[in-house]
Amino acid sequence: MLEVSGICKSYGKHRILNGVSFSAGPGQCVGIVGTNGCGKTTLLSILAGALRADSGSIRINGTEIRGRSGAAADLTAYVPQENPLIGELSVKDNLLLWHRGSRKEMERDLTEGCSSVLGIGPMLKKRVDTLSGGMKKRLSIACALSGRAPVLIMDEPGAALDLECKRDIQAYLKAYTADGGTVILTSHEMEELALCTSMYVLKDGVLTKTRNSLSAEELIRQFQ
Amino acid sequence: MKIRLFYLKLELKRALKCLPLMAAGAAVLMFFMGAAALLAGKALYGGQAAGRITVGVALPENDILAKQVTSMLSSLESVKSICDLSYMSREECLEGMENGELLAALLVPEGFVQDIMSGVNTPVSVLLPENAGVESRIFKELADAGAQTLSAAQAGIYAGDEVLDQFHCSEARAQLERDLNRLYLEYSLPRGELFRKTAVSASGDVKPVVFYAISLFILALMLSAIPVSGFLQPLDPVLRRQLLLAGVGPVSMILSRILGLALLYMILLLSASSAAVLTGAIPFSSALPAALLLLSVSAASLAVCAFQAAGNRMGGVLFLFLGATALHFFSGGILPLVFLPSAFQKAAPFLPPYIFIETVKMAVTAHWEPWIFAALPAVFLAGTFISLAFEVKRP
Repeated sequence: MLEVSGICKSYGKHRILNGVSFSAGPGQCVGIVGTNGCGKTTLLSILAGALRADSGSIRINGTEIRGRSGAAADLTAYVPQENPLIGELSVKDNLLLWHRGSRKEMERDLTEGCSSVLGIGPMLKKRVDTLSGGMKKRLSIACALSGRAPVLIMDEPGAALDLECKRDIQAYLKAYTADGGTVILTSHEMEELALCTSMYVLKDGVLTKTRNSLSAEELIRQFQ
Repeated sequence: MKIRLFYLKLELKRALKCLPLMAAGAAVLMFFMGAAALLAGKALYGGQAAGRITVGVALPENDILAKQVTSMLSSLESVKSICDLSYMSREECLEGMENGELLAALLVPEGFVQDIMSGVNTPVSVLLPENAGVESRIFKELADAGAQTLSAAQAGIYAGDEVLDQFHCSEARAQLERDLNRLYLEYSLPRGELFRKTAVSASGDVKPVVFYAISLFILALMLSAIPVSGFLQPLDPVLRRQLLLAGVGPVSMILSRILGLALLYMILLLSASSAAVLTGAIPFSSALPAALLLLSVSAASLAVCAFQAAGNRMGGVLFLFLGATALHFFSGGILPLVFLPSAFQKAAPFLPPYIFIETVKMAVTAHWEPWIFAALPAVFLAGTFISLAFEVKRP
């Protein structure tokens, strides 16, 4: 269970987040939408422990993670917009770097787990530099999920991906929530937002709950 | 701890993938720097690289005494070390000068030695080319020095003659002159050897050519980090953030990068030093591996420091090139320190390239001084702390 309350964040005098609060239970997928630069990435970075909030509280299964990046790393899997991969190394080396378990567990993961679903197995020996954008995104997700965290945080997962890759990732997200995982994602794509069980609009630093069956036009009106 | 060690292992692996690029870069650098040094040498020495001075000597026919004197001159160490004297006719001398085969010519007149003995002093004609290069100018100085030596010898003999006249023993003049000539030569020639026992050079304990080879090697070593700039550039912010989240802190990031580059440097240094030891160019000493290891990590920390200070790949390349070249100059690697202002001379021993050059000089001479094993770790620590400071300050 993820419980976020009263998160505030400012850059200098500019307040980006102003008392953001929401909660998400196991099996839920929360979508956060908003215009470019409204603070979505800042909010996700705070949830993942990569950025420190000025005030507020973030609890996962009762554990406070605000200001504790180690605990946040254990309890969340964060897939940023850009891929945090080491290009000169192989896919396997990148997976090993982020994998929290043993080598055996990683190999099992490759045959049965998320890496298998994401189609990582056949490209293990390839250099990351030589992969397509979609392949890199799959690998990023596989790396993030290698820690088996209960909360998956994804920043625009489908950006710049081809249709097949988007479909595979959406299928994986469905499977992840079906297994009791919690997904928090930001997106500008209606297909991805359709996966969400609850939807929030971030505007002027304030997060407001909205219906999760809104059309694109209705969402745009909410941004304005 | 596990992830930090694994990250270090991955960084070493990533560094090794850059080895062919670095080796190729170092070879290209050495080639271009060597070519530049050769061209500079040619430009400085009037179109010819400094070499031996070929001198034509035209002696009067059947003058055995003159030939003996010139043979004796050519056997002097100072002349022998840089001059090749060839005996030929006057016409051949002039022709050799005209077509550039000779850098100087000596035309010895008839009765040259007898005239010296009698005090008439018929001069030897010294011919030099119109646009005299450095070799010809050196020979002119040698000839002048020789003439002054002869004058001093003659002055001694004439002084002896005058003493004999004052004591009314003029009949002993001939005997005195013969004895003085013999004694003078016996004493004066070996004495010159005494002054040559200690070689005095602007380049210190090694010959200038060895010094410049070492200097070139150190500069190439520093600049060979440029081809692996992809490895040395600061980490991508997203990757860095994820590493921080996973528990890989700035210290691990910087140390891993320094050790990665140090591994490449160590491979290059071991290859070069092994080749030098096997060919007998440098002697093996037990301190050599430790010194090479310290040199590798120190040089690597400086290269990483340049990229950290610049904050990006292109800036790092520029910073490393300009910084390494400027520090090399101020350390006396391009012009020997004695030619630099005294302020630079005092500061140089604290500059990394000076310490690196001294390390290689000690490796070449196998004469190790303890201070080098304190100076190299100091450079490593300074480079690491500065790099770390920039890493911590990154947003």
